[in-house]
Amino acid sequence: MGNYSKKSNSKPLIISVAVTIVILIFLVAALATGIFFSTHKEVIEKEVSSYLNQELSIGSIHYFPPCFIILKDVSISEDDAAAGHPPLAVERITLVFSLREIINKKGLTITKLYFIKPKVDFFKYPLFFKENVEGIIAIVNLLAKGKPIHIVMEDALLILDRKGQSVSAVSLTTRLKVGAGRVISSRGKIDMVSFLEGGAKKEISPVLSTQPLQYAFDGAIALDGLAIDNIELTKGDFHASLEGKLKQNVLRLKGGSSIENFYDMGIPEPGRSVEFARNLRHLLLYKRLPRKSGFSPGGLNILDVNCVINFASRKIGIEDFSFSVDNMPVQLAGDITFEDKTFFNMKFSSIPARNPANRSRDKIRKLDVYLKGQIDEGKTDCISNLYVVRIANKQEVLHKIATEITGASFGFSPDRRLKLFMDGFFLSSKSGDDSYSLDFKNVNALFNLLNSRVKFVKFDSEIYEGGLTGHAAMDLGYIPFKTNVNFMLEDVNARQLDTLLLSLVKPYRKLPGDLPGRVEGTFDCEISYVSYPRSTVKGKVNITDGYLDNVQFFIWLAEFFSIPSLNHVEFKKIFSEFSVLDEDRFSFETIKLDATDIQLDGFFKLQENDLVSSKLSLSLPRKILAGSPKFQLLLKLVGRDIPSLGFDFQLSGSPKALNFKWLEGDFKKRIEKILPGFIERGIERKIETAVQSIRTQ
Amino acid sequence: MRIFKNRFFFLVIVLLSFCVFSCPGYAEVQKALFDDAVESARQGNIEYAFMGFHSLLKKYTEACPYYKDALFAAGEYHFLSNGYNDAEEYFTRYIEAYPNEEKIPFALAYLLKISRNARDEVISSAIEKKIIEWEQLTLLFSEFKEHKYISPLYRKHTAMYFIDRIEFYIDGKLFEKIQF
Repeated sequence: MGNYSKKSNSKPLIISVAVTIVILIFLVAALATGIFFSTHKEVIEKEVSSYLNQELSIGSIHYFPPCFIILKDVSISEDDAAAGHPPLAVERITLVFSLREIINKKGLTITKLYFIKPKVDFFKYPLFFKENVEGIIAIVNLLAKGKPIHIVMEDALLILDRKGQSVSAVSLTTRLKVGAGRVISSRGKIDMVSFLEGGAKKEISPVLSTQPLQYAFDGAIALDGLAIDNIELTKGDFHASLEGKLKQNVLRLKGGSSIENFYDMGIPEPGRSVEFARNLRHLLLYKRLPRKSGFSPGGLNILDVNCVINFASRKIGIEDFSFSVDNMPVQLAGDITFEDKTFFNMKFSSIPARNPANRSRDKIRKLDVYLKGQIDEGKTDCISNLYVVRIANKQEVLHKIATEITGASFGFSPDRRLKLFMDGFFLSSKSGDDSYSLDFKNVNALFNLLNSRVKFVKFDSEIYEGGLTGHAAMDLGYIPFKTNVNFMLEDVNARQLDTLLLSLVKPYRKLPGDLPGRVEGTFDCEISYVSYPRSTVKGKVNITDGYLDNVQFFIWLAEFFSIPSLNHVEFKKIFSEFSVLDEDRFSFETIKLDATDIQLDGFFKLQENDLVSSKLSLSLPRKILAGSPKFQLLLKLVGRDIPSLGFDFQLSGSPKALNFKWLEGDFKKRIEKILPGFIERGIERKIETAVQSIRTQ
Repeated sequence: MRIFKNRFFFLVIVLLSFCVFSCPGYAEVQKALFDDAVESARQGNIEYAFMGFHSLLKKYTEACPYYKDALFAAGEYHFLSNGYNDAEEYFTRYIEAYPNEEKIPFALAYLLKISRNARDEVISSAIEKKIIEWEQLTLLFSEFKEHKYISPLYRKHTAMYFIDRIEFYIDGKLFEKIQF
């Protein structure tokens, strides 16, 4: 009995001693490992730096039993890195290693890697650089030693832009597994975010939509690259599916994508039959393609995606990136070079007229855009040339728009809108013989891109000593896009704008002669433009304290009344409400001219068939009329008690040979009372002959 | 023998001269044909009048001073007979052959009527514009300008040009109107 109780008392003692010894061993091992890492931190930094070919720094290294190594504040540093903003930084890296491998003396083998809040500056540390990618792969291979490894990144940020504390970035959360046979699979989500850095509480807000882009990747590491079995992208109604390979720095991808219900959004507009479009697509061959291709009746389909990208040292060459959008071919090519500045050179081409859903009257036959520029310290300078070949009146018309942008920078507002600022934006347009240019300074634009189909923008800038404010909406569900624009100009120098305004009013060019006229004064206007169902511009224009010089209408007036001084009219104010329909039919619904030598009131319209309809009330002071040989006799007849004479007249017919009718008025009644009928007819014939002679000149 | 030859030639010349000077000339024939046709029209016998105008068109060319009126008359006749295709052809020939003729607006009015009946908006629009541009008005004391024309088929045509419209009348009845 005594021996049994002795034995039973010693068993728990042995166990507790054994546990204590194990714990002590672990503690000693942990302590020893901790000391080892602390003392060899610099050696580790040096070794890893040599793999990355960049200066790596580690804040601290800790060991937590049984199999965790934690690196804190890991960063890649550059000599000229901004204080506190290294190009690559990770808050914490947790390495999970295999105890079995260590016990079997096969060395340190990492089974899992956790990156917590890594941050990479896109422009300072381009991850896709050949040497960077190779370095990272080398480290992963070294740690994994050919065994399967899991890599997790949480809240990774790819910094695109920093303005003070405000940061715009791409956010990535991913799980990547490198399994047996070098098979890779990865799942994760990507989003655009903005946040305030360095604040007490960091709030990261997505900017493009409430849903991030989900991705799935499956592939395998090959000897000379990567085989991509599948890349799937999903975000709301957007689906994309791609496959390809990365071989010797050349990435090739093929596939397609679609946005479901793209054309079913919103209220169907008159003139567009969603049902017809859907039925048309049902007849197409595409219907028989498997669902994986992403074809969506009633949706926007991007098919035949073919992508070839070359990753060279410090350069990405887009040799070919082509696809078709609803049967409309699109091609992109160019290159991006990363040196002390980032340089880009791109060409975009499309043939929109091949789109069977194109219902535009003026079909766009071809579209080419050339874009060239540089990005330095978050600011972009670029020039672009847009060439459009349009079919108008059964003829091909080449339209060129050139732009020059200086100091453009992007960011995101707290309410998730994309901000754009440009120091300067110069635009010039040439179509046939018509050309104009616009020069904007300090341009601000705020885009709302959350809706996948309709995009909004609010803008303001300085232009020609004045200011511009406005907003626009573009519905991408139509080809060409359905556009609404509303803007205001205030205190703008009219002389800078007159060529633009006059050239935009196309029928003006059908009036006799060229456009020698100039307009001087301070210009204010409110203008709205809609592209659907018909191109319509409406607006109000106010010009103050200026002059009209050789403007066509006043040239005609000067010749008709034989008053040359009307070729140059100094005014206090001109006001007009106008509209332009289909770029062809314009009308001044209201015209009011308040000048020293002339008062003018009425309307002037150019209608269908290029015919004029107008009623104008003209008041001329006696002293001006006295200079006209046509009016000297009449002035004598009406007496001297009238300081000015009013003419109400109506115009009609062809602009080249306007019909004129003197409407009833006080002055006319006085004349009719005095003159006998035969003299009236004589005067009429004389003036008719004179008018005919103007026409034949 | 020689005397006989000379006398023979002399007789031939005398005979030819007699024929030439005693027979009616081309101009007179044309005038007679035209006057005959006009007289028939005045008496209301437009079929017989048309035969005369048609004969003029067949036998002679634009050099004939009555060819112009004959063309107009042929177009007018076919229009009245509802032969709109033929009417269109004759009036088009009239306009092309005599582009500066002051009666062109009346020919255009017929063409306008035909194209409006056929509901051809494009052609109607083009003809309207041509009529409008034909005359440049200056109305100081008058409300309209008037042009009158009595056609070879003896129908009274009137064109009234107002500042905002043109009205065509035939024998006092409104034929066509262009508003602009």
